[in-house]
Amino acid sequence: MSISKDLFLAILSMDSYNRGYNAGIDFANSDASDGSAEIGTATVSYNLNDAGISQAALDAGFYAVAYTISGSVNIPELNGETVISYRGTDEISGDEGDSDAWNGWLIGAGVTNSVWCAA
Amino acid sequence: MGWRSAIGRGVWLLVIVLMAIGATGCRDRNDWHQKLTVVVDTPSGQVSGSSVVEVKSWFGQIPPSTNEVSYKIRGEATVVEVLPGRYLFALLGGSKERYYWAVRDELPTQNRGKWLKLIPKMSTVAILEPKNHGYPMLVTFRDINDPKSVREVDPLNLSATFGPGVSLDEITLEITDEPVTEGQIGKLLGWWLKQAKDNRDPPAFGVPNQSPRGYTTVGILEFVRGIDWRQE
Repeated sequence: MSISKDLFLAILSMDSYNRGYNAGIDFANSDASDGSAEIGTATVSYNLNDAGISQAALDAGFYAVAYTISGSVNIPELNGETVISYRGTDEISGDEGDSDAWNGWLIGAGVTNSVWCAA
Repeated sequence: MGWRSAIGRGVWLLVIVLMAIGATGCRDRNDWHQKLTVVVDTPSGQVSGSSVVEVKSWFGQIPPSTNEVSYKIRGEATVVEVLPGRYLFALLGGSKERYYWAVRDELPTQNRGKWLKLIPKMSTVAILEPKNHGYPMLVTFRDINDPKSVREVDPLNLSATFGPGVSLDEITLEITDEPVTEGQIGKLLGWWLKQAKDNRDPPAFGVPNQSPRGYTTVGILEFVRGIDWRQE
């Protein structure tokens, strides 16, 4: 089945909620960047460990993962591209400094010195 | 945009943030301490190591988040000195629901909101199985001071790593009142923790495996989580 580029990117956007810490759906080694974690023609290629910010990101309630796209017959313009997927709100009011409302939404309001920016 | 409009938007933003923060009380909170014990048979007898980890859980959705549950882990990987100077580490990944998977057949319900309330009261000492999220990832270092010597350990074949006569006897998990274990990782891997600069992690270990890249990365959160290791 062929899907559009936008739909595939939307799927990857949602997929970040199912990888790493506090994943919605818990896969083993869900964000391993060794080439073993795949979704469609996207392979997880870079994670918070690789970036060296896993502790800071956890503390701030931040999560992102990068995929490399390969072998996409239906969406050739994505072949070889890297897609970075960020979680949006998944912990609105964490009580240990990881509140998305505090750390994330404020960025949307223009406050750029939040811990997310630091992560 | 007039100043009245700007103030109006600011008030709405404030209301939304306050509602979101207030909504945290709508979730069920259940916490427990769980002790993971690794027992290894060696030619000179049985050795074991334990680590107590705290699991905090919040159950219930707060829109716009779609997550049913979130967890926080505080503790350290379990360490066993299998042979003099040779350590086995049982990593933290999967800690949050490992006890559930170990005792799920005993639970009267598979409703997560209900079993999260039951787990803190349970007394079963669960003997973990390799299947169904049972075993944590096991690693060791050929030289505890050499990050390049890290290797994954096959729980069903410890002798391949540690030599003849070494085998895993059992890994158990139980609910406990004991305090969270702290300091074991700092004692053994303090040199690694000190490599963390500014707000960054110490460099993740590259553990060789059969993946396309040839190794996977294992970082700080697999060894220490929720503890201020930067002061180690």
